[in-house]
Order: sequence, then structure tokens, then C-alpha cells
Amino acid sequence: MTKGAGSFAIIALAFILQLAVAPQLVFFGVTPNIVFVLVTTIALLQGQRQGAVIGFVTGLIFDLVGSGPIGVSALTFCVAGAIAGALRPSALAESWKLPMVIVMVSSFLAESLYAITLLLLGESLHIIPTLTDVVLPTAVYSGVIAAGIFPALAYFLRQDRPVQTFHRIGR
Amino acid sequence: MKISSTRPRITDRVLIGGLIIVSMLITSIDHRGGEEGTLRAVRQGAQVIAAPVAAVGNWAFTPVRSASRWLSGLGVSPADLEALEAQNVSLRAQVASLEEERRENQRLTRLLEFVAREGLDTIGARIIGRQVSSWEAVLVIDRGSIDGVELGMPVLAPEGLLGHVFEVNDSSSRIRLITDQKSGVAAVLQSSRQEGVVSGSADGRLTMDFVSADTTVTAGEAVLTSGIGGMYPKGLLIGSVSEFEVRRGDLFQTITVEPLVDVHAVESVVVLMSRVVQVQEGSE
Repeated sequence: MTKGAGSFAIIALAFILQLAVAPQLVFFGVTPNIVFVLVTTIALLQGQRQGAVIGFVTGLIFDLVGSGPIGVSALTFCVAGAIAGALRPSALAESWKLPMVIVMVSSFLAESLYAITLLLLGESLHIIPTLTDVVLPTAVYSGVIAAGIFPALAYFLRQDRPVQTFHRIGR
Repeated sequence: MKISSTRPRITDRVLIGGLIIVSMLITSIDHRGGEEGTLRAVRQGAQVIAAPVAAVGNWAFTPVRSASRWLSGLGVSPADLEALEAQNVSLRAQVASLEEERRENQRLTRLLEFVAREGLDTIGARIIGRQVSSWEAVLVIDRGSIDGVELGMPVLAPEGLLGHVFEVNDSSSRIRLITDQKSGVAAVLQSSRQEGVVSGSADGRLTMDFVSADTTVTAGEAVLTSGIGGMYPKGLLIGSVSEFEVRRGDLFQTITVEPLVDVHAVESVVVLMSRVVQVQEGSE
């Protein structure tokens, strides 16, 4: 399976999980964003260009299946994919801690950008509660999910460089 | 910890910049088009595919949700017990007065009489999908245009007002909850009869705006729909006042409303098959 086909299959699965499973895993009002985690994870594994393109496409689909303004997730996912892709280090595929932190930070930035865009569009939003009740918990949730799925995705998508261990980071 | 970043090529930068600009253009087009825009028609098409997937997930997780609610009710800490006892005393006092019940009874009776007199229809619906992101407050129901559901119809849960229909497909519809940032409900405080607007927000908080600073507000006071604007029937329970604040120099109070409906627990709802219902309240 090519990298493109593999990414497409994973993203299709991510959307099914986002629609069917994520709404059932709401904790303290926060819905996990499985699609976003996939975008940043793929960006970490495949690079900035792929991260931005996949982020844009998946973000647009995410907007269409959601109820918010169309185009905002396309923007935030694209930016997050580009940032995560730019941070792709050669050793990333063999650890889970750094990807987890990068996904967490990317999620925080993306959710903050989403909130800022909503404000610019004139939506009702309280800044401090939005940060504490939505942006931060979503970022942490995304990081936890990334820790769980990154090793499997790295194994699946990095067949050009098989993963032997998850403890080689920093050498 | 080593991070080796690769320098992006100029074509990559152009591509990423282009995608960002296209995203902004799409957002702008959608914002200007509003609910009637072309992109919303595309979204409606996407919902035809998304709704069945969401319905399967919701169906599969129903036993898990039930078990979770049952388990969460098992363990009651001493602090919770104390709080419940205090609440019980408060509830007994309210029952003794019967005033609230009398008013509510009158209102509901009038609503039922009005519905019967006007021949208005209601239709029951099951929840088949829930919010897909933290930024929205939306539910999907298993009734659509073939059942007679139309845009703007109010949706009620047994506890009170839930929201309104904002998107209709053949066999499913989406409800925008009153806690959504795009929602605004003309409301009235039950005791003072002061009117205002209850608005949702992106963080899920419900606030009541435009209530004069000199109005006497009490915590726990019921907030009802006022019927102004014709979107929602008059006299439906929205929630209760949880906090209120009068800032020096402000014309209006800042009132936080606690919604009565637990969105995560609601499984079935009622759709009022008419957008405009006005229940005339007499003396209370």
C-alpha cells in the first residue's frame, strides 16, 4: 500500500470514529478530536507539505459534518499540519513522548486559532472559560489520544523505515 | 532531546500559503452566505452520509451510557449526601408553598389547551447523533422532512426547552441546542417578569442579557421563554439562575443560567410541529 492510500484509509477510519465513537467519549463537555490527532500525527510522519494538504482537506470535511462556520477547521487543521510537519525529526517515529507533546501544543494552537476566528466572526464566546473549559482540555485529550495511536500509525505509515523500538529518542 | 527540522521549499511555502488563503475565503463566503449559502447545501449533502454513521455509534453505545449513568449514581460521597439533604429541605419548602407548581401547572395546562385548540401537532423523536466537536452544541434526531419536520421548529425534552431544528434532511434533522453560540432565546424571569435574551456561547455557558441592573434577581429563579419573536412558545422552562452579578456602572446584570436539560443524558425529544405558538398567560 502506498503512503497516500494508507493515509486515505486512516483518515476515512478517523472520520468514522469521529462521527460514531467520539460523541460517546465526551468528558467534562469536551469531545475528542480524533481527526485532528490523525492530521498532526500524519504530518509528523510525512512532513510539512503533506501535513498542510491533509489538514486542509480533512478540516474542510470536518467543517461539513459539523455545525460551525465552514472553512475554520480547514484553516486551523492546515496550519497545525504545517507546524507539526515542520517539526518532523528523524527520530520521531521511534518514540511517543515528543509526538504527544507536539500534538498537544498543535491542538492548543489550533483550538486557540479556532476561538479567535469565531470571535472575529462575531460569535458569542467568553475568553477565559473558553480557554479553561474547551481549549486546554481538548489539547490534553488530543495528546493522550496521540500517545495511544502514534506507535501504531508510525509502524503503519513508516514502512520505508521500520520501527524497531520506541525508546531511541534523543540519541 | 533532538528535533531536526527540515527547511521548507519555496513551492511548499506557496502551497501552504495558498491553502490558508483558500480556507479564509471559504470562511468568508460561508459567513456572508449565512444559513442559506451554497456551502450549507453541500453541508446538508454531507449530513446524509454522516447521520447514519453517527446513528450506528449512538445505538452501539446506548448500553454503555446507561451503565455509566447507573454506576455514577451508585457512589454517593458524604459531601454529596449532605448537599442532597440540604437540597431536600429546600425542595420541601418549595413544595409546601406550591406556588411554583401552581404557576407551572397553569402554564402547561394553557399550553396543552392551546395546542389542542389550535390543532397543533407534536412528534416524538429519538436522538441518533451528538456533537462531533467541542465547539458545537448540536443533536441529530431520527425525524426529517418526510415526517413533516421543518426548519425552526422548537424541540423540547421532558425537563424543558432543548433548542430548534436548523437543518432538515429526508429522515433526520439537526437541532441547535440553546447552549450553542448561535442560539438566542427571548426569555423572562419568572418572579420579576423582567425580559431578556438567553444566549449560548462557545464554552457552553448560558447567559441572560439585557436584564436591567435594578431588577431583583434571586439564585434558583426559573427562566422561561417569553414568546417574543415567535421562534419559541411562551412559558417553556429554559433553566434557572445560577449566578448573577451587577457591575458598577453597567446598565444590565450579568446572569448565568443553568440549563435544566442534561444534554448528554437525553435520549428522546418532542418536536413542536409549528414554529409559532403563543400561549396567553392570565393572572397568576
